[in-house]
Amino acid sequence: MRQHKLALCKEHYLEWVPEQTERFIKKYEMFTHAEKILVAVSGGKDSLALWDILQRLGYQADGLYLGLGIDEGINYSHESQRLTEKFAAERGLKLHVVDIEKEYGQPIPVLAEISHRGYGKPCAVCGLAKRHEMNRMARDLGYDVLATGHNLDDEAAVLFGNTLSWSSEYLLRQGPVLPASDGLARKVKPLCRFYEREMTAYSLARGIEYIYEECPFAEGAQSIYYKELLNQLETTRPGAKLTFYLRFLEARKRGDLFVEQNVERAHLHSCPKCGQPTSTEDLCSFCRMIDKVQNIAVTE
Amino acid sequence: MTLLSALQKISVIPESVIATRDGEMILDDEILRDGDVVKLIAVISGG
Repeated sequence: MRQHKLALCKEHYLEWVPEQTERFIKKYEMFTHAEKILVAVSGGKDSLALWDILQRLGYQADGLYLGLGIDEGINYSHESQRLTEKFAAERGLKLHVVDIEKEYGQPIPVLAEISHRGYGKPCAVCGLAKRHEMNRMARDLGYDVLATGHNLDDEAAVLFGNTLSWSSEYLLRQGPVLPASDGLARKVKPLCRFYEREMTAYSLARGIEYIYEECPFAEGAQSIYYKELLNQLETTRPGAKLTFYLRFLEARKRGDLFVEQNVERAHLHSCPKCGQPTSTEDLCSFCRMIDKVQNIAVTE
Repeated sequence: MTLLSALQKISVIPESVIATRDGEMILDDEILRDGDVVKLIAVISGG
């Protein structure tokens, strides 16, 4: 883990991931041991790893699998459901299954075709249906919180996309916790600070059997392209993805995003030494640099 | 040659894969030997 300057053996890695998850759950006040958690599981590495970690940490976490009815010649939904049910059965965990076709008459690809949403791809309808059904089940079954397996790469890719288009409304909503409001269950992302590579390593080391195949409709998806771009950046600048996300969260928390008066405030100060404008109330960057150089020259 | 150099040689982004050899994960600085068979597992998912 170059971004953490940390190298762990398998045994310690399998301890480190749950410990860090617990730290993030507490830091962002996601939920407590007294609350009932519904984990949205897809059969993929992240959601199954999340369920595994929450169970290891002693949380009351049940699973929710949504049968989307995606086949595309590789039996995608069927296989992901089989792996999810196997995971739950082997660990004695409670799993709720909702079959979209049984509930609404058609599988996701047909719903997308009929509704003409999403420019020929079912992803928009799929996302909409998943959000709707996850919330419905969490609310109807009396869960306190809905947890998803979004990792740092998922979050950074969404942030990157929303930044490219300066979608301020979405940017102001993105975060590890979406509080409950008006019929919407609280949503949390306990893995949001783990790299996708770290979660893959965890699932492999833990022996979690997950679906390797990508959703057949995900080919060419924008989010995957953004992830690849960010990974190129990460390769030459270890820690870039984490910094991108964490600095965003800090700025959002401070209220620094999209507030015009803050832009003005940033230009209000003049450097006490040179008088040139600076965003800090103290010396400007240039004067600090010169001071530092002069101090070093004096001490030498 | 290290795993990292080998990945760069075949234009694979190191951050996008996990490499295993004989079923065990190996790190970027692992030295590869002649005849080693390395399996690459894609880490990117989502749509």
